[in-house]
Amino acid sequence: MTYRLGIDTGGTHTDLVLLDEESGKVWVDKVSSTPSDPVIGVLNGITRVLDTASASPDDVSTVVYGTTVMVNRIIQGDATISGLITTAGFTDVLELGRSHRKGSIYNVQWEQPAPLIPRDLRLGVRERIDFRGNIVQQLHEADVHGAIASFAERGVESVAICLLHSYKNDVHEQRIATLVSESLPGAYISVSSTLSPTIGEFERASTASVDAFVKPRLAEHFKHLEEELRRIGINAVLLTMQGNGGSMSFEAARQRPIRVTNSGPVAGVIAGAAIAKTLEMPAAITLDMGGTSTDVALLLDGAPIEVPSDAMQGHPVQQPTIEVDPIGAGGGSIAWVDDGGALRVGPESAGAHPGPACYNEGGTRPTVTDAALFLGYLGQSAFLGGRRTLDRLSAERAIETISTVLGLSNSAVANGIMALAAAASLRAIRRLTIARGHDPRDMALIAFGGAGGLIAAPLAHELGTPRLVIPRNPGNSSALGLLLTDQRHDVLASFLTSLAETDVSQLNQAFETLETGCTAQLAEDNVPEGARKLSRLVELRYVGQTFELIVPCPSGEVTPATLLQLRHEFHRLHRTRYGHASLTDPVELVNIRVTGIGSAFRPRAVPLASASDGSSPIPTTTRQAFFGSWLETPVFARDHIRKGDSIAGPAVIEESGSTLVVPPRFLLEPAADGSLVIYDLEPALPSDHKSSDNFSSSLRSI
Amino acid sequence: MPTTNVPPHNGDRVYLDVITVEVVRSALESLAEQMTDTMERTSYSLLLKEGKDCSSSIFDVSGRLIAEGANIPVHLNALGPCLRAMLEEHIPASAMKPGDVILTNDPYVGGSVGAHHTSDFIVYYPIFLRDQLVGFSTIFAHLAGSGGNDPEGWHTTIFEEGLRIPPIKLFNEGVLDEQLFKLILANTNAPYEQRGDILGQVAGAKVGSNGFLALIEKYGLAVIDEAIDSQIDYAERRTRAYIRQIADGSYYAATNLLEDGSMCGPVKLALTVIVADDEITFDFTGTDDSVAGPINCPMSATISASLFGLLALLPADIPKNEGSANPVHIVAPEGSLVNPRFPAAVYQRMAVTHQIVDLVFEALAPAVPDAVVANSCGMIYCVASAINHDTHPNGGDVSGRRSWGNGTGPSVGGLGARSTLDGLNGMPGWITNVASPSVESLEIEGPVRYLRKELRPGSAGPGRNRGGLGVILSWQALGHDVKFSHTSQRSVNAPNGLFGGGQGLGSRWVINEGDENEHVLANQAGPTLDLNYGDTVTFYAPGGGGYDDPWKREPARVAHDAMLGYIDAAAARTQYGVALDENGAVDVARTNELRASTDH
Repeated sequence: MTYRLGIDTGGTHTDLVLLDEESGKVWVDKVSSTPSDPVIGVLNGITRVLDTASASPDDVSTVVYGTTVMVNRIIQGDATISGLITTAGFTDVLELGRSHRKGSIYNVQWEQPAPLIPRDLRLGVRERIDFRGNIVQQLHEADVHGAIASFAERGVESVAICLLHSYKNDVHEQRIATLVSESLPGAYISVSSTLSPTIGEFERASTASVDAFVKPRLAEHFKHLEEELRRIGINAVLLTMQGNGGSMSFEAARQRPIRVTNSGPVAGVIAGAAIAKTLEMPAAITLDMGGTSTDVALLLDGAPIEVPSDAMQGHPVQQPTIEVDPIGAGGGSIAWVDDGGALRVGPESAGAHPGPACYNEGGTRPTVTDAALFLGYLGQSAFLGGRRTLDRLSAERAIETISTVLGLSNSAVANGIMALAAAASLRAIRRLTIARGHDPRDMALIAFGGAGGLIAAPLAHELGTPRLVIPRNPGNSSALGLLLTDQRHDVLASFLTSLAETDVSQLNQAFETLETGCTAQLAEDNVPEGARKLSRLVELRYVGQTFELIVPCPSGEVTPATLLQLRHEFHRLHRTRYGHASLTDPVELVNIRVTGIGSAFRPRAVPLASASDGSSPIPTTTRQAFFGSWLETPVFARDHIRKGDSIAGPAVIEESGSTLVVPPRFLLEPAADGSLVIYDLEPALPSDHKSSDNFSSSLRSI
Repeated sequence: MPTTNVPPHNGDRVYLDVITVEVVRSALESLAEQMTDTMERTSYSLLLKEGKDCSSSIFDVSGRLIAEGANIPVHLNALGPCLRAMLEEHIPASAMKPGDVILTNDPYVGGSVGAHHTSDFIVYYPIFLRDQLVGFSTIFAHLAGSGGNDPEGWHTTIFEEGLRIPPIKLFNEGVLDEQLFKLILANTNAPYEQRGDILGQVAGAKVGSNGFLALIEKYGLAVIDEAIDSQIDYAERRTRAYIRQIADGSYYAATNLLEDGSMCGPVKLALTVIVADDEITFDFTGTDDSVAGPINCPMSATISASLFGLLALLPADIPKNEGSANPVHIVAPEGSLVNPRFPAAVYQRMAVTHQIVDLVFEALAPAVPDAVVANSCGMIYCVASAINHDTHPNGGDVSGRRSWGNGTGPSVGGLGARSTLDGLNGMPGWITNVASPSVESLEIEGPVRYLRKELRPGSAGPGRNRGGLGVILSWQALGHDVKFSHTSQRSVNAPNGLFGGGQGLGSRWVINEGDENEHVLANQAGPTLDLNYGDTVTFYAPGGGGYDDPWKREPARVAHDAMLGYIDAAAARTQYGVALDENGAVDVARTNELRASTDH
């Protein structure tokens, strides 16, 4: 027997999924995380899940590990001593940033995150390159040696390097890197033009600084984890998740640790994409609702959306990342009444301690979980697979603190709490869909995470999404997603030129150079030659714009005809995304990229074991649940749902780690792969997008 | 476990309405954010794409603000008066048809409640539910290439400030008026950018219109109307609740702008804030008359700045809509600096708006000490332009065109200290919030090479909480026929501290610093100067004022500031009474001695 093991380390829990490669059978487990040394929790979990499956460590062929929590902890702490070298006169680039209070314009008490590298460890060296890439001032190597001497004195472990216009000419950055590696042996080095050869000195400096800051600790972590895994007898290939939705070897992660930033929520999106593919739903929204937060993402043509940059706790990171919108509302979010008499939910969360009021561990303010319990959506013993009992009376008392203030019934308040918890997700989903011209009424909603099933159906109704899917093991979707990721490496080069005047032979050469580099990275990761797949992308914009759109470029030789094709595709994409295109404006090629994929193992789908014999499924119990009024509602165990069953709402479906609410006028049917599909029997009508068409055509004509 | 305890349902219906209001409000706010996002991502001008110098809002049919997606505080709150004046005096609602798009950049709409200056383009997109006008989707954006040939120059009337476009229909029933568009673009330095920006602006406003219609389709017009009324009431209720907490009375603050005599200075700006129960009045009586220079502040900008001063004090989660403006009254004598008569020049009105914000905080400091902020860096412009600098390698024909450097917009300095926090380092003044373009982009777009952009040590006003640090900005002029204009209103009149906090350092301009032909500019704001190729300009931006007695600052925080190089050891001793040893650590005994003995 051979197995693949997915391990997702979260703030409170470490989730594991063990997959039998031949049968496709899956075992899941959840253990407490161990913040002081996360490796202990990982090892505990591995032992348990292997025991459950009666598997031996030696049977595991591949481990895929998700690390976002590690990265978060490193950034929040200040255990790393890093230095930054910049062009002289620009040492405060990290601190000055873009000087903009985005989203907080009226808040004069606003504070910005402190730079990762303090001012006394940011040193300037004399040199200058202009925007054409010409050297205006030679590098003063004595300045570099002076900086290195200061760093050595201060015990600097890693050095970030960011010079002006290095995206155009990296010769000085590379020279400094050489000098640092010679004179500061053992120091980790992060070169901005290697990490992200794109314009914008603040974003490049920030990227290099985040890389330098996380590198020493992450490199140690991967080394330690690898040693411990080997020690307990796991000889598997070791991979880790990246923010771009792919995985890479531990070895690659030690060299390019920045790629693991923001990878946590991405695994869930990958799991969602796999389900969307199986169920043939090209356009879908994924919703992953946990205890403290919810992540939403969009799938188009079956694939997640990729963006060229992201931020790590307020620090910009320029690297391709799967777009995930995090929302500060989850099952533990606390409801409160503001001084204007409005009900609010979150962003404060009860967390694991004291937890929701119904935990009886000291929490007195109502949370989303308390509301769900009060409304009969959650059972008193159905939480966390029966490992925790919920106290409905405590939930009710907590809700009463609000209903008294508002002069409303408890059910109205609890109902309002659920609606507001959904409203935050609704807003994020609208931002991802309607704001960009994608109609959620043509999509499916794929919901998972511990609390996803509680709000998914009303949310789908609000969006007008006719189909809702709850995958198997919704509480462990992220760990499962880890197992479904392809190995992946992205390489990028700046290629700023007018598209119409692009020298195709230069472009072909640049693509070949990138492809050679990317192939080498895949080879280092032991991806067999036959399993490697390379694809090309170009980033285009109208001359004068700053934001690019990513357009796929066909493989093979680029010809003038290819350029024309890219141009047409860009116009089309611009119109789809923003509602207008300027056909006569010159288009600019900004960056070219190559993505190298080593295809992941695709598990075989395991069909539901039993089929319906035509009889109605039998509920395990019934209870009163609130759907505008109190209704006697059947409760089903998910394990008992058979192929061919059909359950009309109201109903509640319970399983370990998650509960699904099926309101009235919704119909549940299991899909062939064991996912539950819930249909909205009264969905909102498709919108009429044609009302102002003469307006768009007028825009097109100019 | 089955539940038999069914709670009573009294009040459900009313309560559910509250939820609907919240959901509709969330939808409207996200809609306004989408509008701004569309504009930013498709724009061409550096000020828009990197400076984010645009804001969106949605109005109901009577011209009440119902939601905003804001980047720039000063853009807001005045679009409503302009809209109402436009409906009354220019294009009545009855003359609007579905697909019409209205454009204006004229400060003198309805008195002076239009655009703030001629570079501000406002697009009003009437929202029609079939044939019924139900609201307006609006984007306010600062476009490059407007404001005449010498936008930052010395003007005495609006006629020198470029093409004025009173409210006109750019689109009639969905069809672009090509002749009109040609006329507008023929009067700009940047026709290519401006065309892309205006179309992006219209596209963004259309996003707002479509989204608003989708909401009406979903909930019905009656529900939306009720939800809007209800959220405006809610904002008003909370704003009134806050004002009621302020002790009734008259709070006065005044200052002289441009004390060094530059640009018609000194000019007196006086503000009395009158609090009576739950109403507040900003009364500018006592302010000098408007001047024959460009710093006059249109009424629209006076309204925006006064409201910002109040909104900055309010709890941050109050929704931003017409409700917060209802308890506010503004008295601005006609013909004065803060309510000029046509045709006074207004291009540099930001000097006044920044000062209004600082005055609101200063005046109300005794009443709400925890909420106010010490003085900040004020208006800063540092703009160079030159001809024949073909910097747009892929940008078609730019030869012979004048290109602008340094962001053509606001620069940064230190902001004032807060009751619990130090001031922010190197930020645009509160009311601007224009993001800084990258040095790398600035060098591509404009005729300059940067030599330095760093924090200015020692510039922060000392205090228990210190002000934010200013910056040192230095660049070299490239290109030919270089024109340079500069403004930094806080040089003689440096940012004041509050409650015993010290002043931040004032600003300073030096041409060719360190060379034999070095000279310091006499005035903090001046008319356009000629520079030679290769000349350097070095600007020392002001630091923010401090808050509370610097001798109360924890010695460890003083030592930390010294370690970061924000201050030196001498300043630690003289400004804060903190002695540091040779390693930079606090010398406790010496510090106690200093703080006990020295009178400060």
